[in-house]
Amino acid sequence: MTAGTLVMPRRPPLERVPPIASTRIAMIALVTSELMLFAGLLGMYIVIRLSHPVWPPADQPRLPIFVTALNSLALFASVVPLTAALRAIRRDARRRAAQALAATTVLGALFLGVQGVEWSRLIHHGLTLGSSQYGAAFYVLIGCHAVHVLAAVMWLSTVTLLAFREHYRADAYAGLEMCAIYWYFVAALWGVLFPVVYLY
Amino acid sequence: MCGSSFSENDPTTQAFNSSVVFLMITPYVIFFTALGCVALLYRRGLAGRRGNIIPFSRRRMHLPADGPKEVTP
Repeated sequence: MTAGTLVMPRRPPLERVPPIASTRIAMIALVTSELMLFAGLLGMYIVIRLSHPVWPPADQPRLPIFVTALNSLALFASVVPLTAALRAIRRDARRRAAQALAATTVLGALFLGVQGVEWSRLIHHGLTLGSSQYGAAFYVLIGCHAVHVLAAVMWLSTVTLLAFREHYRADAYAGLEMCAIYWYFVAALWGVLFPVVYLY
Repeated sequence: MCGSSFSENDPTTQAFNSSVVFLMITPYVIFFTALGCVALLYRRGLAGRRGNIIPFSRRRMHLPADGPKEVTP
């Protein structure tokens, strides 16, 4: 640097915030592809269901409607603490958000546990994947949803652990929001699958 | 095609027809719903960038007609 040289401070580059967060676009793409998968499975179920005049077939066990309806309430109720967690983290109430996420995880695990117990009872009564088209359609469709719930519960558990460690802040909670979107999808999907498979 | 594969009054024919209609409609419904979500989020994202617009007439209503007064302690 010579005498007479003026050194200007470096101006920080302007931050360009996109109108839609990339994480949200990624979740929309993921949920859309998952919806296509379940649409295909529902198409399969429609063929099997409508080609049988009597449903369920006479020699096959009936599905437990009442217990599953109560279980569905637990799944739908899990959306309430999840929404509360999102609101809490936007206010930077981190402890409150973590507690609400823990409640959601417990309700999701409860749903999975009751589903597992009901499945074991159905298998004990003779409804298996290879017993009939009825069993195959039921286990493929509901089993695919159960795998998604299992994945979502594992994701929720991780997010809850991170939330208790105060990993998320009011200005950085994309991980929590992505998990919430996925959980909303899983719960909404059950709102379609339960009436179609259990009630129709 | 499904109608020629099975007999006319076979419930399987009706089942395949219903499933085909369902599988033809559903991708469009899913695609346009996703597109609607993206459009909604985009509009919200643009709206969040704009500053608050205060109507000029309302701002003037709070000002005294004879201008600011000098206050002496």
